[in-house]
Amino acid sequence: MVPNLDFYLALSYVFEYYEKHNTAALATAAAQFEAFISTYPKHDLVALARYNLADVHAIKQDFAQALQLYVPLYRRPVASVDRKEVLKKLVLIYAAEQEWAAGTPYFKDSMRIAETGEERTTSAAYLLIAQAKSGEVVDSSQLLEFFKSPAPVFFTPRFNAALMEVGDNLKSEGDLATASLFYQFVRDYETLEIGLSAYIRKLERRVAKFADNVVLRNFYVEAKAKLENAQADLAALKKSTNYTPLLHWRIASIYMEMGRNWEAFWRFRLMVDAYPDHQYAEEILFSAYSLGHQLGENAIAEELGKRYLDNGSYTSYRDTVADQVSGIYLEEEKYDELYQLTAWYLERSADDTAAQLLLFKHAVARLTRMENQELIDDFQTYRESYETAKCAVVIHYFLGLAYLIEQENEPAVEFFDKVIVDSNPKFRADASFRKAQAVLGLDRIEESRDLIQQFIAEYPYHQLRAEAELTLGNVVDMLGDTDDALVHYHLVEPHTEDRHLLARAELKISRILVDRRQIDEAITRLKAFIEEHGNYPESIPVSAALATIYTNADQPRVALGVLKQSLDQFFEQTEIHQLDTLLIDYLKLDRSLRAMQLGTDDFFNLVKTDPILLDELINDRAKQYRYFKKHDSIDVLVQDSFVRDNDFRKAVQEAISILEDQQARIDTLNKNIPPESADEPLEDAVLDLTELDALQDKVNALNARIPAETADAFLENALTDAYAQTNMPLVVRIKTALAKVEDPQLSPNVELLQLWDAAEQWAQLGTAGQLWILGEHAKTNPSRVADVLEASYLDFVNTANELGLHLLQAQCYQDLDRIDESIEAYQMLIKRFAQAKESGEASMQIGQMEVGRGNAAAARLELESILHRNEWRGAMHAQALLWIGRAYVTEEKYAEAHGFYERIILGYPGFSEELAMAFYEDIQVLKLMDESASVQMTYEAFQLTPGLEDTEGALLIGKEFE
Amino acid sequence: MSLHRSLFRPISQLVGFCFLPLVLALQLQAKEASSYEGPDFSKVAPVRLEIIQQSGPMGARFVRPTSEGVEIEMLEGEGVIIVNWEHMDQFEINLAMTDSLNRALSHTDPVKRLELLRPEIEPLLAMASIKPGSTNIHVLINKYIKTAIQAEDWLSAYEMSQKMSLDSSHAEIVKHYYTVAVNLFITGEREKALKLLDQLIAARPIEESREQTIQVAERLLEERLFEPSYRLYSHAALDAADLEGKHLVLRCAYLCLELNDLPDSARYLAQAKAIEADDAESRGAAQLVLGVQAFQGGELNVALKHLGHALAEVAPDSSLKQVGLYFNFLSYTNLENTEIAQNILDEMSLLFPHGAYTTVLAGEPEAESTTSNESL
Repeated sequence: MVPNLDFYLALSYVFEYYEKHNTAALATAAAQFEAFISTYPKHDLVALARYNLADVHAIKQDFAQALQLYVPLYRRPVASVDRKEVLKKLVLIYAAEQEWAAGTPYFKDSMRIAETGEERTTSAAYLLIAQAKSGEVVDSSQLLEFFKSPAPVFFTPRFNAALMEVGDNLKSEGDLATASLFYQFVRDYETLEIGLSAYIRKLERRVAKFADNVVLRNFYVEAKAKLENAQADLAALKKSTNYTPLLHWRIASIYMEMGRNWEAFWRFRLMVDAYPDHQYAEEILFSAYSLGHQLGENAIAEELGKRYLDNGSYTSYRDTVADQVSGIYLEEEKYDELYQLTAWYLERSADDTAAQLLLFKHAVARLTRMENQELIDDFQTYRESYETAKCAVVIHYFLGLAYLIEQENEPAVEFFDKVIVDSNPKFRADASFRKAQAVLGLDRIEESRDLIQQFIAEYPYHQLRAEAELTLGNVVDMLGDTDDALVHYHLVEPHTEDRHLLARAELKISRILVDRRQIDEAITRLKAFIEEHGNYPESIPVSAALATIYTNADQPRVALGVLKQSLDQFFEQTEIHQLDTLLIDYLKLDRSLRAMQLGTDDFFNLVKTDPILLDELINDRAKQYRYFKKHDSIDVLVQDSFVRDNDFRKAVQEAISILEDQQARIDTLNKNIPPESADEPLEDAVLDLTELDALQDKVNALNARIPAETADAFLENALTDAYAQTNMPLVVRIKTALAKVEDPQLSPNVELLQLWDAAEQWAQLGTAGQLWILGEHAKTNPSRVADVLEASYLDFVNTANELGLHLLQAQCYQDLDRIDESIEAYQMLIKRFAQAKESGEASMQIGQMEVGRGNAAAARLELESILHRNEWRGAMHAQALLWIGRAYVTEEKYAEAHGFYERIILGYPGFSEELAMAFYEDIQVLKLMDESASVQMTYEAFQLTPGLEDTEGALLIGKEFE
Repeated sequence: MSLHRSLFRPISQLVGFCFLPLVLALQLQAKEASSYEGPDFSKVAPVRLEIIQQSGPMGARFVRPTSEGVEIEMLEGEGVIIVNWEHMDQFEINLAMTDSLNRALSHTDPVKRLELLRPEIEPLLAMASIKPGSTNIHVLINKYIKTAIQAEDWLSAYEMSQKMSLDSSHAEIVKHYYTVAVNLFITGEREKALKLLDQLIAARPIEESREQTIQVAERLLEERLFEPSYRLYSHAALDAADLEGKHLVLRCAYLCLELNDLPDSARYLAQAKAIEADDAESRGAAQLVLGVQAFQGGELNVALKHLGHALAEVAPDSSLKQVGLYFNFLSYTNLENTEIAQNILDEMSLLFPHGAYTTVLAGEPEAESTTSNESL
């Protein structure tokens, strides 16, 4: 064989591969070159044969074998092989194989001897990766400039993937800032696609240019290899559609780890719109949503959350999103959206935890807005559909609660029982206690006590423990065991820090102590409470109670000090509604004390100069009673001294006796002076005022505790300041208090009346002032007042003025002949303030309106509820009976009506108006029944009844019979 | 003999005349735009230069610059040849390469080289308007200016600019003065820097100076030299109607905020909004402006929202990235979130280690940066 021929024969197979794309030729070429090398190991062409064999391996992507041949050729260069070409191929292989560390020396050499900028940049990029992977990061400013280069290497997925890996490594090592730097310089998919496509087009032109040029075949081969590489890169890129999202995901995750959530958020947010159909679109959207929510940006979170929920195929995070979005709705007061979301979610996933959370928020929203009936309606609907779902326990619990609030205790107990036996224990404890409250509402007091005791035993550390102790105290108190009640009231404090509950317990304790005449202990406790919590408005009722105790213990001056202390603390905080009542108490007490001071001084001046009166007031008990009843402003100490202090009385009596003796002697002496005598008659005797002076000194000493500045002066000054500072809420607070202490109550002036047109100022006023002003407006414009009250309803709830709101609202509707709404408002008043006197009046009004519109049965039902309340016996019962009679009359049930009128005639002798009217109306009914004898008898009975002369009923009877 | 070819008005002036209404309109918008007045050459001493005519060498003659061209002195004192700048193609005018000139040019130390070149080249500056193809003067002036730049002798370079007609000198020479202007600002020569910039803007045709202007403006912005940067950007943004213009307008909006000119900032922002075209850079820039505005208004959380958006949009190597990170740092610092602020500073130190914004933050005492909402 001829060696040269063998070599070129082998080489021809390589050409065949290039020209005919015959890959089988490559295997033959490799075999031929290997044969040549082993046959002619010392031939001149053997190095070239090795080089070509290496090329063949490289083309076949058998890089390990290729490297075994290229490396020796590079390390021991031979003249026949271009060392630079070998180096280029080494660099390509190490980069393709991502053998960055092993390739480092070749990347360095390549950088050094590169002939073009493109080659140099490519090698530098590979070197950078190799160095960065080994933890060596070059000067970042150079890096930045370097990465700006448009060299093709930067558009290869291989390079960018390596860059991303460097970022990953740095991130895992905790070098977040540098990791971020590398990630940010990874080109995104779009950039790579554009860059690679442009590069491919350039290479295609170059390949086409050299395709048929035999002389420049090397150029062709090189360009074709590059083209194939670039095409492979592009193909690889197109397969990795996750590329850009993953890149941004990495950058965002770095920012999240750094706490730079806004930057992370926007990375995801921009991806949401850019990749709506992406494989991970749901995760992208959720990440953006979640970060928006985390950042507290409700508008953003709501928009993204809705977008997530609107996509039916997104379910992985639906529970979280729905729960959080509902939280946003609650916070933003978008209640309708919240209610819709609950229904929507239940339809889809009633068994997961989010459904329960949504129901919970839904219920809380309704309860907060006092929409109990709506809550019942909503949850009854849900109950029908989801009775067996896992969320049923929440539905039952809130139904129980809503019914409890509505005082519909039977259904409340029924639903709480369902919750108690439910396998989900979450609401069991609450339901147990609420059930006890409902049972109490059913007047099953012992059962309620047992249930509360059971609750406390089972859940001693429950958050409702303090409230349970308070309720149990009330229950056992009702059962007459005040000792046990005290025990439970005392147990409130160790189980709560809620000042409102603590204050309630303290008031209960002090009430029992006062009942037991342990006044000092009660005072000590209340003072201790004020000492500890005096800076919080919850202390105001406690201060009021303490003042009452002092007043009842004939220490009104101390009481005034207690009120003033609380007043000074909260006077300017007009949003604290509890103070409005306290202010009125303070004003009244102060005025009363001043009046007492004046009255007492006048009294002393009088009795010191009127011994006869003095004598009567000391000795004549009947005179004492009448006098002090008439002059009730005289200091209690003085009254007590005259009535009960026998030492004082005895001393005064002695002084009067001495005076009388002296006067008698003087009178005798004067009488014995002869008319012609020039002697002047002796002057009258003078009463020894020692005892009276001592008593007056005592009173003055006590009065010294009264502040020099009167409450009126204090309020006048405060009013001037408030006007000067245009502090209208305070102006209104003061004016309201001043108006309410007058009888009849004063009306607001024009300036204050106009405040309801200034929305901003109006909103700042306290509820007491608003109500006072609205009360005046109601006389002329009930429609607008009703609207204002409707809009500010929630502001009044749980304030001292809530009752006033319901009352005024009901009255306005009544005036406007909106009977249904009026009745509804009265019913709300009754529900919220069942124990208040106004509640009876509300029932009366409802009864009257129902009679007016012909609902006699409903009227009677309402009016009979008044008769069930012993505390309203008297005029109110009489009126209720009268109206029940009238209700029967509208139904032409005269006998029944007569029965009720007769009950008044027989049972209410002291209530002239009601009694006279009952006579009159009974006469009318009897006439209708054609009972003329009875008419006559009733008339005679009327005539025989004293004290009815000036009544309306008497007037009507008079017209009829006379 | 007199070749009277000097009566042609420079083409740039003709163009200016033809488009007078447009120029007026532009000037109304650009507060600082004014016409350029070149130096007075009447007292400049003539220089002895080698003149070659098409017919053959004329030998060394005294050449005196005028505002229209040069006057070449005749040998016998029979008058002068007046050659307009636009018609130099009939002559080749060279400075003889003497030994001293060659020595000066080959000196390695730029300070010394500048010193040596000064007596040789300084008299030629007035003739910088000669077309480069017909002289070696252009090459020499160019080398002279570059030497001043290498020696960082910005005042000398500035003086050079005042000795040549910036409107008729070749662009290759004039472009160096943008660098000079920037460095005059950096070295505190504000007045001279502004004057030079104004001259360049007025002297050079917009289409030629635009690219340079924008580059310099960007550089000035990166150096936190807000006033000159704004001066250049506002000029370049005059006829903004496309995406590129929108980028410039938004930079103006940001710079106005730095210059406490809120109304103009709002005006630029509105102008940018009116340009429909957009890209990530312009969206990012708009968000950046809103972020800076919120920061200055003390609404730090709102600032973070806009800045976060801006940083997600702009490219990592954009100068706006540096600005965004800077205000992000300040916002977190003012929110007393020092750990996050430090992270941002770390990133800035990596991305823009020599950036003026980074330098300000890295060098500023912490207390000041935490108590002020003002951009430092």
